[in-house]
This record gives sequence, C-alpha cells and structure tokens, in this order.
Amino acid sequence: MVQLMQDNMNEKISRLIDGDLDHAETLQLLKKIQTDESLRLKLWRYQTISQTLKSDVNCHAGSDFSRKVFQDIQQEPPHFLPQISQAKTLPQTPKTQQQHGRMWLAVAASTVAAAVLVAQAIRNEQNTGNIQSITAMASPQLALPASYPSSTNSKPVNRRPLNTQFNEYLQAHNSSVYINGEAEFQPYARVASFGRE
Amino acid sequence: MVHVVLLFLLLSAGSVFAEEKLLTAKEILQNMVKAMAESDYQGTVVFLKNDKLEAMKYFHTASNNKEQERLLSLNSPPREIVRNSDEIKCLYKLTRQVIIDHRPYEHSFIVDAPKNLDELDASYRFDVVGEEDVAMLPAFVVAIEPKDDFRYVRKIWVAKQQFLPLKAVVFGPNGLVLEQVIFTEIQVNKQTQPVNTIAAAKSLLDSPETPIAAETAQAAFELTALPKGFKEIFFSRKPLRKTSGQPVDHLLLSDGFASVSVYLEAKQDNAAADSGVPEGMHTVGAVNSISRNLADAQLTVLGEVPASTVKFIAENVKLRNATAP
Repeated sequence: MVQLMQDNMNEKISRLIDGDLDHAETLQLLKKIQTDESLRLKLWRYQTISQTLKSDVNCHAGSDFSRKVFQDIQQEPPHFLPQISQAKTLPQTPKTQQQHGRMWLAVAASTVAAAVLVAQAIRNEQNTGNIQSITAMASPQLALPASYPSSTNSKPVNRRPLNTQFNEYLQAHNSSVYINGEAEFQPYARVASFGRE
Repeated sequence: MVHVVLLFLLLSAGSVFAEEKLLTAKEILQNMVKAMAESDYQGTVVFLKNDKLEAMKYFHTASNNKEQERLLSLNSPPREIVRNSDEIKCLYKLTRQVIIDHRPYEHSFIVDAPKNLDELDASYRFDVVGEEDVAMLPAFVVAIEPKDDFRYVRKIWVAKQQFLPLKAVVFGPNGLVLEQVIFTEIQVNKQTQPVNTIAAAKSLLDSPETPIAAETAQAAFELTALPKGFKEIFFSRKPLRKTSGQPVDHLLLSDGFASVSVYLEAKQDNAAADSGVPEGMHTVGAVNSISRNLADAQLTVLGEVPASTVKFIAENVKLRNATAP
C-alpha cells in the first residue's frame, strides 16, 4: 500500500515536471512538497535529470539554496536606506562624500550582479517550461532549486499543445505521437479491435 | 627487433587513423543509411520528442529488402508500434485496439536521413566534429549545420564500426536541445524474426489498404514561395479530425531532414471552436506552429523548424479559388 502511494507520488512529480498536472493537482502536490523534505529532494532530482537530458548542461544547487538565501537576507543589516537618508540630511564633508561614493559603488555592483542573475534566470527558463509560474503562484516561499526561475513568464508563444486539433495535426505530421503514446484514433487511420475475449 | 615491431604498430595505427580521416561526413551518413537498411539490431532507446520523454525497446530487422521496425513501450500506456515499409501499426495493449496508418514519407523512428545528401548542399553543411562514445560504442559525431536560419542544427552520432545511428539531437537557438533520440544499449546483428503479433487485427479490417496520396494540384491553396531547399513531398485531402468529418488539405514539405505540414480546413462553428488551434504561434519541443484565418478557412503550418520558417510559409499561402476544401 505504502509502495503504491509512493509510486503514485513519483508519477505525480514526474507529471508536474512535464507540465501534465492540472491546476488543482499541482497546488495539492506543491503543498505536500512544501512540508516534506524528501519530496522536495525528489522533485529536485527529477528536475535535474530532466534538465540534463534536455540541455546537456546542469546548474547544480542544493535543495535548500533558496532557504539559505532567504535566511541571509533576513540577517542582513539594513545598510542602504538609512545611509541614503542620512546622506541627504547631513552636510557633505569629504569623509561623508567618500562614504557616499562607496555606497553608490556598492549599489552599482549589486545592480550589475542582479542583471547577471536575471539573465541567467531567463536562460534557465527555457529549460524549465511553464512550471515556474504555477510554482510561484502556489507557494512563493517554497524552497525550490536555483534552476527554477522566479521571474514571470514573458514568452510570446505558447509552449504546450492546448487542444485536440493540434494533437491531431501533429499525429498526421509525423509518428512522434505514437512514440509518446498520445495517438488518437483518427478517421483516416483504420482502427480494429483484436483478441477480445 | 623491438623497434621494428613498434614501427610496424605505429604504421598500422597511422593507416587506420588515415582511413578514418578519409571518411567525410557525407560518406559516414551514406554508410549509416545503408547500414540502417541492411542490419539487424536491437536495443533500448530514449526519445525526447514534443517535450516528452519516452524509453522504449527497439528492434530492427532487414530481410529480402524489407525492413521492419518495432517499438515496445517500457512505460504506460503499454503499446507496441510496428513499421513495415510505409505502414505503421500502433497497438494499445490495454484496450486491445490497433491503429493502422500509412506514412510513405517516413522511413525510421530513429533518424530519417535522405539517401542523396548531395541534394542538400544548398541548405546544409556536413562536418565530422569529433568522436565520442555512445552506449559504450565509439562513434563519429556528424554535425549537420544549416546555411540559413530556416532550419535547426542537428548532430548524429554514428557508430564507427557498424555505422548505425546511436544518437541524434536537434538543437535550437543557443544550443538548447529540442529533440533527442539515444540508444542506451544496442546489440548489432542479433538475429530476430520480424514479428507479426498484431496480424490478427488484419483479418478484422473490412477494407483493403487505402492509399491516401492525392495530386498537389487538387489542394485548395498554393504556395507562392518556399524557403530554399524545401520541396513538396506529399499531399492528401481527408477527414483528419475525429471531432468533425470535414476534409482537411494536408501538404507535407521537407528539406531532407526537417519537415513542415500545411493544413487548411473550413473554419469550425462556434460549438467546436474551443477545440480548434488558437490563432498565433505555438511551440512544443522542436515543433513550431502558426495558425491564422484565410478567408473562410483556417490555415495551420507546423514543423520541426524555427518559428520564422513556419511564419514565412504561412505568409506565402494563398487560396486558389478563395474557397476552403
């Protein structure tokens, strides 16, 4: 029984990565993953395998990567805003001017670093499909691997076959739908039952 | 004496290396097409197509100039797919139903490479870009690089000894893998008999095999321009959708490696509109598609080519008599 439930959960995680789960199932699964460390690690492993197969490139990050970043941010003293307000109110001595310059240098460096991270996130987005938007909607604080982008999806095209007509066209185009097990019984293809007992 | 032996070994190794170097990418691919048609082989293949991952057992037999390919699914739904020449049978084991389809323009589930590669010189460059092991077999890495932006880069890993394709990858922009077929293990020249496990279905069919090709001139549309290298391969007019019995014009184009389908059918009524392809661009794995209205018809162009290619083709479709099929 336990094994059956585990198999079912594994299948659901696999379907989540493929984008095959519906909205309700996705939310339910993500809630479970949020509270279960082993499921979180499993999701991360499956995603890593999928990403490696698709891109031959894998960005390795621990499953608690986002949690650690969150903790570090929480522990970070609030440097910038008080100093900015202080700099505006105090007279500009050479020392404060020097501090002010350092501060803006730090802001500029942070901006550049953020730009690089955003660019990497956009690149990674091509590998992870539309899962990120569902994930973000379900649980903004979910500790997901770094390979999951956090930005909103801004692709101009849809990345999934949304209806049966597309699948029917795809089936007439090539035999990939037979391989994927998504072939439907078409009016042009002959269909037979056999060996029915 | 030792020196003489060493010299002999060096010369032998050198001659073998030189022999390998003499093979051009085209020769390797031509050897591959020949080996695929003549060899018996089987193994486990992983397919990454249409954003889906599937692992299947694969069997290929060749006897009396007839080839048979057979795929057995390792995952649900349990199914068996058999290709005999241009006929594909897909057996769903749970429902005990079989779909029989005809595809005169396809030859392999693994790699569909044209026999005459010289015809592709205007569109592709062929290079041997390395040697790697796949499924524990040494292989040539052949890159098939397009000379324009109308198609994708491909690479095929061809076994150095048997010249069978061990891996094939379609790359998108920025080197992203869009499609991949790879043997995880392969056994060559293992004698297997062609199977006939779903022949029982044949006796239940009430109609003979029906050829479905038609003349391109019958199409309700024509193409005013095509990307360089693409040719019309196949045209049919038949009911394509199970939800409606209306005929759909289907024109298949190919440049030898990449294929594009052009579909034209009368617009659906409102009740069935939700099942239609929405207007605009769509992407699934390597397949890009575009759909738009053309008078009273809906035009859809899709294929394993960049979005700009399907857009170009769609923009160059015009109705012959301003009527849908």
